Amino acid sequence: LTGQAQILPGNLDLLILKAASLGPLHGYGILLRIEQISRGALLIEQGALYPALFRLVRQGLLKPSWGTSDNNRRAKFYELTSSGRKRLRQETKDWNRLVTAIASALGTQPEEV
Amino acid sequence: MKVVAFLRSLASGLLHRSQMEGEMDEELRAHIANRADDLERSGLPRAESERRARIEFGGQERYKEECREERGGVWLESLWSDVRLGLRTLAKSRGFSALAVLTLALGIGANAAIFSMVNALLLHPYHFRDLDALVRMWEDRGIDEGYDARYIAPADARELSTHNEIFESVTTYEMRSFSLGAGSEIQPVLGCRVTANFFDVDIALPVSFAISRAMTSLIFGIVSMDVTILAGFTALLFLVALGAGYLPARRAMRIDPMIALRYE
Repeated sequence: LTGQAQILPGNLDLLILKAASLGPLHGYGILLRIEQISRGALLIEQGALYPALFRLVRQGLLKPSWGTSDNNRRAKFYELTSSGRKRLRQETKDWNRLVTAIASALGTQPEEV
Repeated sequence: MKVVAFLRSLASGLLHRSQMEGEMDEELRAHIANRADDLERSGLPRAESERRARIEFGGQERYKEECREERGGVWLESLWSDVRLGLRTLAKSRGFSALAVLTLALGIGANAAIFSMVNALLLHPYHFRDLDALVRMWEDRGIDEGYDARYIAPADARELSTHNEIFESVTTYEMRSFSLGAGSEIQPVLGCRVTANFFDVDIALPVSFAISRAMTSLIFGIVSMDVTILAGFTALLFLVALGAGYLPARRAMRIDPMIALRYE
């Protein structure tokens, strides 16, 4: 578990939207998908996923529906809605801008000032 | 879209509460079971896998509570339980509740009565048809002989009425004091002398005039003359306020501070 970064609360929503954008998933599937696409570099407390999922459903960004998982368990699947897709695009843009700004600030050398 | 999702979440939270609770339980349990399956596949014994899956998940009850909050409708539920608590508390101390209701009723009643008078007399005194076309005329005799002298005499008004092309009709009125009574019971009465075509100008005029006059005398009747009514109301309000302040204070004094602290 070493080498994993704790994620900030707001970033979990963004990661969930991204994971769901790759296809409908149940809660545990979203967790695995985030682990997979972040190459295991992020530490997510598993239970914290669910309040975030309920929040995104309330905001109309995810649509829940009950189905059967591949191991034959009844599971609640989450699917990205069209406003969820829009939000994902916007937040990705904002995130990239933030990261670029902070990276360039942190990368500043004394002679550049 | 967002509003619809919010309302759907709120409605399902309120209407299908037990169903939502069941589904949330099932969802979290399925997550832990899935996790346990994966851990078992990696070589752990089943019991150990389940234990580890539960630990990794974290505090279930805490997350369930957070889920309920995120679902929305929590404020409505807590509002409802607040209302129930308030009603229970009121039912427990009947005397205080009755006093509070009485105080409110008297306050609201007095306010409503005074406002309806102010509203009728000061804010909307008359309801005339074609109010813009209604004017009051004074006679200018060149010299100021006082207020009464500028009234137009009825005969002059009739003359004006037939020989002008400006006004549709002209009417006159004159406020007068009359003495009304029989034998020794004589009372001063405020009256109004009008010309015969007074009612032609506008039927609303005399009606509203009469009503507002009647109401004026009603108010002034209470305020200026009937001291007993005024004193009675003051005393009643004073008693109610005294009771509302004194009774709870006396009850509070009887409580032992130690018991109150432990109760909290």
